Amino acid sequence: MKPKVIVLLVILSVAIGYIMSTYMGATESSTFADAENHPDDTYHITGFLVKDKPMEYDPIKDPNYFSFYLKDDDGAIRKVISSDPKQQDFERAEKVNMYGHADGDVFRATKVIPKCPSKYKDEQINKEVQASRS
Amino acid sequence: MKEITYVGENLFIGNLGHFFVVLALISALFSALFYVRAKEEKCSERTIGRILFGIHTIAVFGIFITLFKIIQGHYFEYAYAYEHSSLDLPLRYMISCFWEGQEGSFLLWIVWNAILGVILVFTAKKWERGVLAIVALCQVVLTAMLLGVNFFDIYTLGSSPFELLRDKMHAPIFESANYLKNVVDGSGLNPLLQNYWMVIHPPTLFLGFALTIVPFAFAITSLFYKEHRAWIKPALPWALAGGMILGAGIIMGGFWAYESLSFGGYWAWDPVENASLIPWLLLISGIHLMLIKKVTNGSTIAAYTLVISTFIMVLYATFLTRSGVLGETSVHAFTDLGLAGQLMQFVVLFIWLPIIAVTEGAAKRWYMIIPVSILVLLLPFYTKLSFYPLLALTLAGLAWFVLNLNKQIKNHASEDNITGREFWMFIGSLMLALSAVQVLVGTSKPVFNKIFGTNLVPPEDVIAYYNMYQMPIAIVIALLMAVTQFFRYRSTPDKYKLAKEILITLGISVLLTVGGVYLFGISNPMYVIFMLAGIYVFFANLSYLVLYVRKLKLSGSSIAHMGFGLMLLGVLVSSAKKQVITRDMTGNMRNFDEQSRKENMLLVKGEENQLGDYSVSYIGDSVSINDVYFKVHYISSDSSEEFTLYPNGQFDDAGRMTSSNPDTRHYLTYDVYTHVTYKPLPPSDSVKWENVKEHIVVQGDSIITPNGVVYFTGIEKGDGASIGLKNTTLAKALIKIKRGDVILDAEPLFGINSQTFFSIRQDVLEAGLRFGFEIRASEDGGDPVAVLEIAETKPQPQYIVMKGIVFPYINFLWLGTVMMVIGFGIATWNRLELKRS
Repeated sequence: MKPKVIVLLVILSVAIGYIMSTYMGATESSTFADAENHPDDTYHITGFLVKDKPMEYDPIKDPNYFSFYLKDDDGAIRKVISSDPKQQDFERAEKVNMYGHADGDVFRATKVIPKCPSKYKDEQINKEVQASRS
Repeated sequence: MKEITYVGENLFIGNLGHFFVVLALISALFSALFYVRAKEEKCSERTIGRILFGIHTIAVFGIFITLFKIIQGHYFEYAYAYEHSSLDLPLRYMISCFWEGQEGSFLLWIVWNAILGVILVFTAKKWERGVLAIVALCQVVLTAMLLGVNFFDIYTLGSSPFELLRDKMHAPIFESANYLKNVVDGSGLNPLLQNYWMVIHPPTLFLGFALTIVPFAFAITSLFYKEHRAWIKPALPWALAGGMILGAGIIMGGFWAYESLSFGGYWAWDPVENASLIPWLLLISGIHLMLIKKVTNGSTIAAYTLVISTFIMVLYATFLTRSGVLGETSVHAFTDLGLAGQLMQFVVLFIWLPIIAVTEGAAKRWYMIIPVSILVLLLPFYTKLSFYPLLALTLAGLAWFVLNLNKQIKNHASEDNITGREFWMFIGSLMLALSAVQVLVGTSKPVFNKIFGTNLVPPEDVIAYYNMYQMPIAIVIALLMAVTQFFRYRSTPDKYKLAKEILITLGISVLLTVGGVYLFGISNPMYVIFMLAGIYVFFANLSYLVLYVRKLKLSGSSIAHMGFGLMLLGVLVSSAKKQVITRDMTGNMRNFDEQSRKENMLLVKGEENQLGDYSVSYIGDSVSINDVYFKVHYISSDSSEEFTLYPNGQFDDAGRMTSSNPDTRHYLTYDVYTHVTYKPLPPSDSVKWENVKEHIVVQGDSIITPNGVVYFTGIEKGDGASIGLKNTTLAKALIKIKRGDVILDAEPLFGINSQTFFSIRQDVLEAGLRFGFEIRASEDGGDPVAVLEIAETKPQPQYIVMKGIVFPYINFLWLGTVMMVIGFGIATWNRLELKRS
């Protein structure tokens, strides 16, 4: 049984070590202040889209430059710059999840995930029925 | 509230479907009970159990056919038809409606289970009672998911596919007795599912899921009978068939994602993908442990544990993808139907089956069944309250399972010998299990958050995160796969020969890897090792096949292992050497990281762009009912290849692109992938046309406008039927517009029929020109003349933003997976023959 037991223990300790590292050291949602204190690290920030500030995407100038303003959980507002094209229904988003790092007074996002408010089915059926009546 | 008598509803068909659900549930329940009561192989209880299972199977097909009739007959009074189908849905996609909704995909699983149950009735012999009892129990739980019966307004059991639209939704229109007049069409099937692969991928995957219950049922039965070895022989062909079908189902999903989804790859480590990968990894691990058990009588507990956890993980996967717990972390999980409690009960119930089975004595079993049942029943109502005691009890139960089983195995396997094949197979199986655990732990973060109230977020780059862990595990597994076949079971007598075989194949693989590294231009040392692992598996198993395998039916494992090697190579080369041809390398290179992320390019209509080895141009759109297809034309620099790709997008009422699908050109050694990421919005206010002028033209005339030179190249006669006008003759003016280097086309129309004549203008917004065309009698009474009307406006550039990727040698991946499936097929066939003999 000996070699098998040794292998079993090694693999088991690798697995346990991995599980611990996954659930202990995992990143939680942060704020712009956290990111600005450590500009070299990547942060995950969730915030609300600031709709009265400009959203900039002009593909003719640069198809890989999209900027918007986001308000984090502490109420801090920062300009966010992403190098992905703007998702065309981005305006509809309320909350935005993103990963990235602080760069001076802007936040450079590597991944932006807009969260759209869910469409209510009832609303949809009313709309369709109205359409079929007219 | 006043009762309303609704007009025009077909209530009979829904009631019939509901009757079948109830019948299927009751017959499965009693079938399970009679099978449990059957004490001998041939007795009346078994016969009754069989008959009831037959009735159950008929009822299941009844549910399936009824639901299909509702979809096919467009009975939109039923929520399922309304939500998942529409009048214009072609027949071949009607079957896909089954897996867009949760209820339908449960039904698919139930149908497969019923078919497997019937096959087992005829083939399982002395195992039939136990195996069928478990299959029937599973059917009870699954059919209950379709029940949709409400108890005292507090608890709904299941969600019925036969629910009426007016019961499911609360909208004012249902106050009208005549509401059906207004529900003329369903909301349609998700366009992503209207795809060939989506017709065959889900049934294959569900058959794979369904198949995992068979080895599970054999394992549980043998725990009851305490025959810890005999179950392997009848269960092995089923396990291998499961490995084959589930594997094929997973890879079909990958192929579908590659063809239709816009992330630019075949595997995104999405929770829903992971949920099907975990059981497959465990099943493959279980198959190897079953083989060890069969040949050497060792690894009993490990074999049981892996086969049982495979099925438990299928149930857990069902919970993950259907309970709504994944929430925002997955792009294609099902919507929550309020079945979370029921799904949790499903998982817990089946975890306790082996624990109860291993326990000796009826009294002890009841001591377990009673408290666990109470907690399980409370689970949907007092989740917080009953969860922790249940978790503690289950962990204790699992420890009890291992200790008891360990006691029962009198014949512990002989001392492990590191020159025995089973030793290395065992380690390989553990590595597969480790791989499954890694995926499981990563995917279960949302569950962990729910239980412990934490707020862990998924990693930034999910793909890099999983690859980082899975790559080293895959390398170790590959090395084991390469060497293990050369060992003999128990101990290898000729150790010199063994060492020679291992080292010679390794040496040749190293040489091949050097060649491969040079050929594909791979520099990352980790990738070089990965490549060596892939080549070594392939070559070592090929050598074994040539040297030792004399019969085709024994070649399954070698072929499957070779397929795995090819798959690794395909994964490596296609991702390491993939080339984003739309990457913009012109700008400021100060920050390479920022620059390298700029992967999209603007293509102005009509302009040529040099992307990688291709000259690429966006030549226009073609519009279908729901989508716009963008025509992107590719010409290779040596002009040997020329093709047009049609990536498409879906748009909302405001003209915003809400989703898009790629298009890919396949070649033997590489694929060209194209995906549109942005399309400008249509102009917000109406266009003002100015400076309208008429020109009398003859073929070859050119007209200079501020927006470009217009060439009139001729007239083409056409038939009005082509644009839906009968008995009309059309004249089409052929116009070319030259703006700088760009040449654009326009074709305004003039039509004549017996009553009238008319012209259809054409706008060319990117040139800021509008054309009208007319054939008119000339003023001096001569031949009729062609008149071109030209109006001007500010040119509005038409463009798309797109991403283009070249994937080299991705066919290694597909070929490798096909080989694996074939290998599994041969192994299944071999084990079936061995079982019969």
